[in-house]
Amino acid sequence: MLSETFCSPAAAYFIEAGDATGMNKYIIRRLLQAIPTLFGITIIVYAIILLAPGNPVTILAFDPTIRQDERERLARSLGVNDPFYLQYLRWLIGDDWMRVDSNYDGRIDERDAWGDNYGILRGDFGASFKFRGSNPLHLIGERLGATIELNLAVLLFGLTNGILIGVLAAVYRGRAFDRFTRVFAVIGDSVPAFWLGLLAIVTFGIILPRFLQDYGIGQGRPLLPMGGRCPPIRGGCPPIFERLHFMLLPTLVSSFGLIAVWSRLVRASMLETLSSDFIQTARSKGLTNRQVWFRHALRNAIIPFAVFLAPTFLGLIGGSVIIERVFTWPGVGLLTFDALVSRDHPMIMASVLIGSFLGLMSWILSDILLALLDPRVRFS
Amino acid sequence: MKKFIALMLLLSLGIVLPLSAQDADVAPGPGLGGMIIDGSTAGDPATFNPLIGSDTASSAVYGLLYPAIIGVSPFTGLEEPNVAGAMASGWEYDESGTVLTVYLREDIAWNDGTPITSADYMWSVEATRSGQIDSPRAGIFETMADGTPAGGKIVSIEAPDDYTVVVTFNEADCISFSDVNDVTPVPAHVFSELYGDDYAAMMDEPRRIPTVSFGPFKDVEFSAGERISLLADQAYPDSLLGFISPAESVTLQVADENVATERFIGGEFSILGVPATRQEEFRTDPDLLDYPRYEFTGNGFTFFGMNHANPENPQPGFDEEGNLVPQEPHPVLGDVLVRQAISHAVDMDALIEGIRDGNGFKVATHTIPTSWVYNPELQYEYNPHLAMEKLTQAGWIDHDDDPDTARICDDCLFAREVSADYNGSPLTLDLHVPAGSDIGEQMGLFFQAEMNKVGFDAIFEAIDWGSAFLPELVGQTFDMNMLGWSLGLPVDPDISAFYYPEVDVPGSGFNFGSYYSAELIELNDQARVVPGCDTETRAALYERVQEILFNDMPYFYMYVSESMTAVLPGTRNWNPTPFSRTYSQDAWVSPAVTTP
Amino acid sequence: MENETRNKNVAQPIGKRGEAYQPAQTLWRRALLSIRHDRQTMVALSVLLIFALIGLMAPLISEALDLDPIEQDVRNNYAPLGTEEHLLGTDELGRDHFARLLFAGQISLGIAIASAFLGMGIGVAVGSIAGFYGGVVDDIVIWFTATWTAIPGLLLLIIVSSLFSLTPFSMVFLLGILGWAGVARLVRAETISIKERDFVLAARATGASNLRIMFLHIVPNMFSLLIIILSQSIGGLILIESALSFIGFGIKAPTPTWGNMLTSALDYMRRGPHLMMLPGLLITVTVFCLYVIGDGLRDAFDPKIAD
Repeated sequence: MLSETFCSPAAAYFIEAGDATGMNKYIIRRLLQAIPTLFGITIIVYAIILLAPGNPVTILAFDPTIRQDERERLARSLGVNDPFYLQYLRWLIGDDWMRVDSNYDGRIDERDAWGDNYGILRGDFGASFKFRGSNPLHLIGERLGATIELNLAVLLFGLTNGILIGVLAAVYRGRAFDRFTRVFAVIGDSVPAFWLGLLAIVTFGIILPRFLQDYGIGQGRPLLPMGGRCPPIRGGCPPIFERLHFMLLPTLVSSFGLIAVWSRLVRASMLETLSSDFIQTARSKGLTNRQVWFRHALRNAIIPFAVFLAPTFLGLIGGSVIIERVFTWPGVGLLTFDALVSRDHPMIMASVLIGSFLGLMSWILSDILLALLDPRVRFS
Repeated sequence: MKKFIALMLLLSLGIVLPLSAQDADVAPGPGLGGMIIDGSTAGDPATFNPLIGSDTASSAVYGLLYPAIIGVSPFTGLEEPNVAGAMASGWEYDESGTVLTVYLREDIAWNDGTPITSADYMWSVEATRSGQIDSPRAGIFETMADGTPAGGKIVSIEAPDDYTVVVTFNEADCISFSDVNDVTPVPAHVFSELYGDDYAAMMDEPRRIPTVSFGPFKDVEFSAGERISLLADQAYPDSLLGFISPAESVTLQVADENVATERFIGGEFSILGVPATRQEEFRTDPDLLDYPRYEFTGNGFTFFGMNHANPENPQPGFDEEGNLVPQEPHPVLGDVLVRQAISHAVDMDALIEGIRDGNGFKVATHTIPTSWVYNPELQYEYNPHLAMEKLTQAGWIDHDDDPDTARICDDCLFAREVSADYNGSPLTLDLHVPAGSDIGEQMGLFFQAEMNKVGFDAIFEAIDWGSAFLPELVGQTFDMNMLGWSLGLPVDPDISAFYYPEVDVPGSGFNFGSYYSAELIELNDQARVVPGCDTETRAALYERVQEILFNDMPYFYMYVSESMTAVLPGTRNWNPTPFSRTYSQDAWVSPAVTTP
Repeated sequence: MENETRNKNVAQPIGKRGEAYQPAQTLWRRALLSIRHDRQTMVALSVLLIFALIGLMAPLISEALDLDPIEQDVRNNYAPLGTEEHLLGTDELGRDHFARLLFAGQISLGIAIASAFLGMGIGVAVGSIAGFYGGVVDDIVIWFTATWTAIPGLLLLIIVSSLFSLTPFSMVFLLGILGWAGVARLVRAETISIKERDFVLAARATGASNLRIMFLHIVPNMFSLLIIILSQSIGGLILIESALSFIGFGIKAPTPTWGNMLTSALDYMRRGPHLMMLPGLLITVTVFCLYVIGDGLRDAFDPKIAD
């Protein structure tokens, strides 16, 4: 439901039935439009961050044993007391064209050196406040894989099951399967995910194995890992198929919403398609039920929903922090959460920028997907 | 003698000895003691370089890889010679008390065989003092290398030979001794080869993996957001058994404390610092009773800071010429009688019993029970009638004979000294705690209920740490805010960081409440320069300091929290001490941890 | 026919698609009739009405039963279900759990409903203006909505809620602001299709003002759509409120909400399982009912699916 409330397919506005003027032109236009959009987002978010009460230095150095002078040095070295425009400019175009207070004496004079930040426009994300000197892009890079891995698994699992359930529910409309899955999927979507996650962890980690142990089955050890992405062994994370059991619980818990939404969408659309003329024609040609449902009806039924891929993916990325926190999944959500708590401005900005970039790209991709699937759609 | 008393105190405090305490001779052999898996909520370490790191996650790692110059004993929490993993074999002050000579052990070496000498310490000193690195420790020096003032006490550090370090202070000062330990020695032969004089280059690779180390573990393997793993270093000479029993020490990240606790119970971690809200389960739940646990009075206290100055008009302690700035009193808390009334209004025993399940140690001053200055006689008295009497005496009267409504000011301090218009104002103030801590929220609610019973109109709210709590606290615009200090080791009773006018700086200082007492400062200054830093003389001075703090109540000191650490059933050689829950970790035998 | 194609491509998830438009009265009568026979929806509706009623009357109920959500008794905490005087037990401070749940429900439901209405209000205004006037206005709104939806909404929500301490009012404002774009999109599409209908053209012919046409003729004709959106977004917003509490950015003590009660009860899941189960179940049941009602309404208003 989140995706419906918070993200709606912008693409729909740009797609009109009509002349075929070519997809390439359209894509280039969308890409060009993305630039001012990204720019606007950064200004808004930077203003929100700097308008917020509280100072990163107070939070980073809340320790009475740190002397007053050191706190001031820290504030100067991070430049957090400078005016808004200067901080934003420095983030945007860097400070290698001006002298910065490099000896932290509170004055900017000829003893100071030129800045060494190139600014975001030249690809420099600055330096994280909390992780002294580390490049935010690098820190996100360390974790982006984990987030994408989990969200793709959720997308894949949720969509497959959602569509399958939707089709079968439409076919067996009104029967036990239809009633059961509708209720079950909606229940799954109604439970707060963090609570469901914790209950799942405790159930599969402690309650169930100990219950089985009482009946002489197993040794009371967790049936599934209670968190994390890889087994705690040295030498890096093993390939994904060797640690699928680590993904099982987080994927299940965060797929409920997807399954609920997609099974309903697909069911409704399938019902409409199944009663349409061309399906009757297909049936009259003597095709089997399965062929009719999955080859003909489904294809037509899901086309309108291709645009929902973007908001779905966006919603997953935005909501990552919850599921990552419960399952200790080492992804970007947790990193962003830490950055927010410690007011790590360059980190927050990097997360926002990359999140929005992924968001814009996924819109464009779902437009293209829609065009490929639905020959009636042309770009104007 | 003092030490003995401290020890007796520890025992009389009912410190529970670990249920699993066993002789240290059952380890099967080097690297055969399994894998230690610890869960940490501290997040990723910022660096493995002790010269630029300051966060707890980082120091937890580099603390295992580099020696300290002077060791802190895990048994007493005080600096002692010849502590395992530390360099100093002894030290002495000259007659003036300003020159400290530290003698170093000659029998230790980095794990590549290079002896550990004063040169290693000196490299770190030079780097810290250079001003080229963002080091929070540069402030221990009087001046930086280029002569800019740094505000510290250390004039110079020199190494006359490989096993001697001479530190010169600008004045005899008992608490500056620990400053020497702020600089961690690093293998100079490795670091100078990597960086030369370009200390700033260290900042460019904060997560460089140390190749040469000295400690029970080595070879860091780091995976972001997930895990830090170290392997046993059998070359470490100071191990308890002569070898390192566990093969590997792993720290796994966990974001949520409850998840961490459940994963420990499920067997995925071998040790857990039990969150305060979950401690009672380990004491009473039959399923958890066989988990060996260790409870000890921690080295941190929780308190309600009280603002003595008017929150509408925060002023620094000193003006630009260095003269004391007169502080306008807080309308309610400016009066010492009101502060004392609060101390009589709150039933701390009920709070500790109900909210902390009986596991807090009630205190009334800034010292913790394990400290050599602790005075057990100072205790707030719970007596609501006395509280009401004191409020009446202070000019806050119960005008309608209904204790549930707020009292009003009738010639109270603020009306007398600042503005007669204040007469008739209700006795109201804000109680704030940082959001996110259940126990904190519960205690705030409890305080509110107790204070309102004697005629306050206390308004409780849990507020966000970064965006609301800290800004109003350091901005000195709060009334009563709850906070806890966790004290570093060794714990010193010095109060200069909290109650001196120098640190009464709206916006950044730690004397948030603008508390000022000339006598207190005088006593503390005396205690800092006691010749030889003799603890008996200092303790006598601090006895008086505590009396002042007890009567003036700059804070409502609440309690020292009990900490609890638990390990998996079957863990052997686990001998935690009050000052180190991981003491003896190099001798541990940890039961195999479940990895499905 | 042209409209039908367009509507298909716009890919409405809910609401009618392409069928011939019917006069509102008949549609509503049919819908009500079909809902009356939908037992699932009726049950959900009654449960929700009971919850709302109880929530509204929380102060009266707690007074009548002499229960105080504030009064503490720390030495009598974690009382289990069925304790005398405390039917649903007591929490970690010995406060009556039933009374706390009552007041928390008031706030959780209040936040969700108010912010859903706020988001809807903005969305309806923006969407209907864009759809009605078209042209440059429409282009601007489209661009703005597209930009707005490109920002990951949840990420922005988390950022703002972590940097500013949220009160119930600021949370309503924030959630409303973040939720309007989706509504605006659907309303715009609906407006475009309604504004060419006979009755709108008739109103125009009688010289009715634009505003009058918009708010007396067009908007009332999408009530079915709006009610469906509303019931689903209220459910989603209740979940969002609880999720924000879980990461520590939600409504803070002493104001109780189901979300922050559930979050703090996770600390006591062994000592007082009922402290965790009850708010969790209340959230689940409420959201479930809202979703079921949304589904039921959609079926009722969409004759093709509901038969």
